[in-house]
Amino acid sequence: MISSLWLLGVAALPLVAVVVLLIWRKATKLQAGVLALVSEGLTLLIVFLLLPRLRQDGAVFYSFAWIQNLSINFSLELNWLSLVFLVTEMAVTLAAMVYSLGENTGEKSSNYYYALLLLFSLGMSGTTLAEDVFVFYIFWELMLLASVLLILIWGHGEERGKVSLKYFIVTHLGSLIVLVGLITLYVNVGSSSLSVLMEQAGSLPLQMQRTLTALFVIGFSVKMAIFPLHIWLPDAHTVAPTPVTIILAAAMLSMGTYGILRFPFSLFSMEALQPFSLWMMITGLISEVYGALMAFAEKDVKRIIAYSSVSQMGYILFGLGSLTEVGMQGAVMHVVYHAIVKGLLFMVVGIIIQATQERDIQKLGGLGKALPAVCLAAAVGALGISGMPPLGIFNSEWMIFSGGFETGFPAILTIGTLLGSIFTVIYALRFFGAIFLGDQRPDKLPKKASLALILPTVAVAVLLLLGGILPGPLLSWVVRGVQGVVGGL
Amino acid sequence: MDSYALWVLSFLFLIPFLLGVISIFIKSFPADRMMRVVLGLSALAVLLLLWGGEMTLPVPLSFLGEPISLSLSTTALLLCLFLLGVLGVLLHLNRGKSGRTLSRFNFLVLNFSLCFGFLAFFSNQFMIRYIVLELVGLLAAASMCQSLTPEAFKRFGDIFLTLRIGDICLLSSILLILPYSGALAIPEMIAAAEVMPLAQRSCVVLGFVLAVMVKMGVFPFSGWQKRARATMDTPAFWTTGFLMPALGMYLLYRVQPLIESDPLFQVAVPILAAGVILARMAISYFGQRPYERFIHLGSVMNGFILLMAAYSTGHALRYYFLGLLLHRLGLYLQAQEVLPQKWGVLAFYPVVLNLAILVPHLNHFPIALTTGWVALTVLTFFWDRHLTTRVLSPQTAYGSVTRDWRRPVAALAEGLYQHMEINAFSNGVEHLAGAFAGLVEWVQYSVEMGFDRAWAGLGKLLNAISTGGLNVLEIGADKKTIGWVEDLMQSVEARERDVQSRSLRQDLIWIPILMLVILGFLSISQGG
Repeated sequence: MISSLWLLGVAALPLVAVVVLLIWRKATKLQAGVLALVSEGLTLLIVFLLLPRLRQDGAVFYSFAWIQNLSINFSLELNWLSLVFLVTEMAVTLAAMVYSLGENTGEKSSNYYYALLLLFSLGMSGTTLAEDVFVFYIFWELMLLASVLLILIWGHGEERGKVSLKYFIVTHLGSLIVLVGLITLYVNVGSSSLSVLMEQAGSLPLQMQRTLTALFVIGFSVKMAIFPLHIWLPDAHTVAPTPVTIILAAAMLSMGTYGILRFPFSLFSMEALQPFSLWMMITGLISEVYGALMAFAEKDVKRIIAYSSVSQMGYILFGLGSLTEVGMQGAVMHVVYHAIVKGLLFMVVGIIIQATQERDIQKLGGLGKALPAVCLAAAVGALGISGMPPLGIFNSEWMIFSGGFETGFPAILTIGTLLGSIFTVIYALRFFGAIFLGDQRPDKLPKKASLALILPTVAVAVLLLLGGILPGPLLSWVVRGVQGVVGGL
Repeated sequence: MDSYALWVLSFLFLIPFLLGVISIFIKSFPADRMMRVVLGLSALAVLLLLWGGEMTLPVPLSFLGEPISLSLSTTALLLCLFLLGVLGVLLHLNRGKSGRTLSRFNFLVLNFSLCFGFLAFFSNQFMIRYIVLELVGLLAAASMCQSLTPEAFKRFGDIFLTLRIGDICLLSSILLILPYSGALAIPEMIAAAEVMPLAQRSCVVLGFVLAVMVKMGVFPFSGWQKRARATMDTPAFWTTGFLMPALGMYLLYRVQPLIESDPLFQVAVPILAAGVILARMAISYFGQRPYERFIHLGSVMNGFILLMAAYSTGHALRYYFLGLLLHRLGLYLQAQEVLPQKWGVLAFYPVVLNLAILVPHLNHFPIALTTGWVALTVLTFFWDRHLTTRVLSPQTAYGSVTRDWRRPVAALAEGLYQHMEINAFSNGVEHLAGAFAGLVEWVQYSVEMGFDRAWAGLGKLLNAISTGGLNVLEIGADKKTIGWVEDLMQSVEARERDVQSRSLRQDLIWIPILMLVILGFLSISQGG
């Protein structure tokens, strides 16, 4: 059986690749990309190799003393919940790296570009694996720093400096709120280990638990881009190069969900969480409808998909807020399916922008004939985001809505969320119809879409279909993961 | 027997599905011939299943942890058989029209519709039933996209959205029952729903009834049927024109015990049915749009199904469904000019059908329902007859048929027509879309751009504060400090200059000498 020391490899392997990339200044884009891909692929392989160990022990743990005076250890833990988020994040990064090879991104200073992509991914991996709150926070900030630099250096347009600053300030404010919560926990419990916190945080005074829950929910909601804390998202997603947008939307947003599950939901009593349930559901509903409305009104194709993230995160918050097992399972499933569908839609948008050099949806049209494979992938994406069975998101929405009806709150709240999903259908249909049907605009495509862009796009579309038809394996991971979270409630 | 039936069912689902998939990849696919093969084999399979009798079959599969089972009811099998017959007629008509062959697109839509339609009829689990109903809805909408034009896509969008609303109603009902039933098997869910608190049960019944109305194209949800007529002369119309309404009927058949579970529903549903029938008739009668028998009479007749659903009539409901589908086929053939426009059988048929159901159940139905039913049947007959004549006569203008004695009704109907049919429903989608777009733009301007403005304002404020802070606290302070330092330096220099300008005072030399003398004395005295 594979040793738990391999868990360190998940953090160490990308770091080694980063160091090599930083030294290897003359690396071409292809060389840097392949090195990053190999590193990320091997890291993902390690995760899969650890699966038998996870099945046997229920968790894989690795730790060494770090700051001994403060009893802080560098502890990593792979459990069923972190597995879902880890695999999603790594798969998304891998797809984005392949996509980068076909895109005009990172042509200059490729080694730094791929090094930062690896650091971005490492930040997310570390966040999901961290068993110590300080380790968690360090990786959390690494994720932010890497993404800010990627937007700042390789982002589009003159505004990228302002946008990256806005992104940094707003999300950092959220991080600071989380930090306050983490420090308060550490001071009051006397340990930074999550396993110790899980045992003891529930015995903290109820008022303190509630205050900390509020801090964590608000702090992590910033990362989730829940209305009205989403103000960083549309600009950041639009200005960032498409591969980075894919990672931001498909993987990084889910870190907020992970944070809510890992901290308030894992640590505190149901009594402490209960008062937040209704508010989380209402905020989720507002975010769902608001994001969909904005996606409908928006004209920039990239921003349309960006706003759809705000809407989709609303579903997730709604599911989490239900505080039911099935609702939370649905929320976690939604994270995965959303990652797939959002990756797909941003890939489609990236290809369209590259092929037409145009972002205004009103100046696009009839591209179905010129880009048939992309049109098909977009149709799958549009139907997928609409929650059409058997395309994945249907499964998670079913569970989220089930959770909503299981709560003691009036059914109208969940029915409202169900009806709100009509708006998603409207913007998805508009997105597809406006771009791919009718007379072709522009008449001639300035550039051809490369195969390196189309292949991962079609592959992700197939994955979305397969993920929907065969949800069994994912569901079994999610069920075990959520059991670990709510087991103590 | 079970395993035999399961094999036949698998065959029934898989053959159309696989052939549909294969047709995507083969350009010279013999769609016409293969469609006839599928039709023949499917009909044979359904006949075999009918011969096997009613049964419930657990399937060794599950979806999202929920076990799947299939149920073979005679009603479902008869409906399937009838629908296959209708499809055969449509295909025959298609060939008759200057020997047109079936396009691959139509073949794909029809085969997938067959596969998912069969699954919807035979699924004994609500989640699977819901999924396949959604898929049939998608196919019904997709059948509009024979060409990728914006108009076709608009029809696709309208049909898809309307059917989606019905699906959401259905989903709401299913999920409302789920916490009470704990399982998704349809009989268990209906049994659990029958004992739910009345408030929740009312929501469940409302959801189901709305879903049924949408799928059957009953007023006010008949708009999608109007849009679907664009493909009326293609075999793919089978999905929108026949399969979807039949699925709606069968859904009603499955949830009918729920309507019967409380006297409130037994009163409310027939009133709703009468309301939608009358509204449809009034709008068609007084409206200025041409009377389309297939759409309007079809919608009215589907409304009668809701009337009947309030009280259990056993197998009669099944035959009523079949009778209505036959009537629908007749209307379709008339619309396609296969049957003569003045064919009287179609006018009398609804009366005969309704009486054939009513008479044996006279003791079973309350008198009010019977009276209302008879009145509506008679009214439908005259309404249809008059409108058919009006359409066929050269004087079809609205004004020419309005007489004085009808003026108050006409005014009411005109208002109803103007506000409901034209403003609310016919133009409703556009109005709604316009209002929606306006709302969205307003929200975008006020809220989203408000955020941007707030953000920009915040930025300006921060900028002002920091600039102000810089000016006041840093630069101002700096200037002041510099001023203070300069003043100090200047005063020191002035002092120095003042000191330097004075003459040296030699008398002061005595002070250190005197101090040295004192120190000398002190050291001597200590040494001593």
